[in-house]
Amino acid sequence: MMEHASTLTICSQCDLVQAIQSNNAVDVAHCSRCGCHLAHRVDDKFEFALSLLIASAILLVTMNVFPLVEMRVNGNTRATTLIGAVQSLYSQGMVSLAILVLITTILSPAIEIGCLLMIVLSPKLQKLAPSIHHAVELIQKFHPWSMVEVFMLGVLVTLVKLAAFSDIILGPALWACAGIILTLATLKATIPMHQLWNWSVRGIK
Amino acid sequence: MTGASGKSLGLVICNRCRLVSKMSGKEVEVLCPNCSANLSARKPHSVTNSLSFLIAAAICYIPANIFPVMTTSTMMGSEDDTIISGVILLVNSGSWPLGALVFFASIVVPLLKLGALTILLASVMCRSTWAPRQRTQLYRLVEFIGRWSMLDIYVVTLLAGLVQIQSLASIKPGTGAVAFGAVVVFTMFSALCFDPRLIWDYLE
Repeated sequence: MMEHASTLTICSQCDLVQAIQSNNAVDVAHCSRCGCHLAHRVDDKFEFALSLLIASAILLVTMNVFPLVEMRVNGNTRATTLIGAVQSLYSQGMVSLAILVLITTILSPAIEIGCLLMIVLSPKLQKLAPSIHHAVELIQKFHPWSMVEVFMLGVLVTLVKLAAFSDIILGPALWACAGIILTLATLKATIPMHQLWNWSVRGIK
Repeated sequence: MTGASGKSLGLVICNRCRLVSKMSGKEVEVLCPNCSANLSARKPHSVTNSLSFLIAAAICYIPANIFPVMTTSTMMGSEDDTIISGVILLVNSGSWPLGALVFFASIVVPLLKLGALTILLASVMCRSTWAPRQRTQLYRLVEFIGRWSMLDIYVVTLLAGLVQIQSLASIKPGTGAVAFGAVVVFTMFSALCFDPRLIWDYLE
């Protein structure tokens, strides 16, 4: 049987110092005391990450440019884009809500995808390298506030409410929204934070 | 199960690059030698910050439920909807699975978050050694479900953006929505400030 080297790690939620097998010997490692996720197998899926990110970027633009839904009542037609909905909150005097929706559905996903692209592209574009650690920091700061999946559910609830008294046509942005949820979730599941850092370091060297 | 904590051994892990490095107790600001991220054995002022946000959230929770989240104006007059009346309306109109979903996201989740954070903070402040593993799991639950209470905010945003047909009906967001948004943001900040490692500190 092959012996695997182990490395020392510390659980981020209960601070227990423990050894885990290094070199991807196990698929996933959990803390022996509190059960928190410690690490999982990371294959160097650089190209996979890049393709997912390019797809996310295209979807992000689609989600922000095209209308989300179109509503038809008695010959009146009304469509709204994501930014249009935020604007209408703003014009109705709900500035704080407009800012909250803007940050959670437009800014945070855009920052996340933009910074991830920067990190992944940095080995190719040396110009980006010096600002990489700001990108990693920004991703960590904005990640909890990126709520595209909750927004998607909100759209579905709204559609059911409106379908009772109007015709609803789903817009391209809605499909883009669903796509972004899938691409971002896959990215998050395959690439942990420290792997991003490793890539960014490789970019600097 | 017992073991040594990073703090007791003077070791700290970088949450950016996962490097474990040495840290003596006296240093206040230490940078990771690998990636120069800030290192700290515990989140600074965790209990105070987390408690302040929790109190702010609890205060906002009252107007969030009293004031209407949106006002629907039609030719027949205008109607105010609070969070609870919105759920009741959904259930009565026949879409009870949807009603259950909104009930969960806008009533169960915020209450659960307020309750769970109170338990976590109270137990840490009392230096409790009770069920640390379960309390850590509770923390993970709060972190995971916290975002889902934004659901109602998005529904109001979209309804207010779409239903603006002058002759027929228009929907305007209300003060309740602002207060509810504040509850979501404050509980999320409270959870982000809380350091679950404090739960384990009194066991050693």
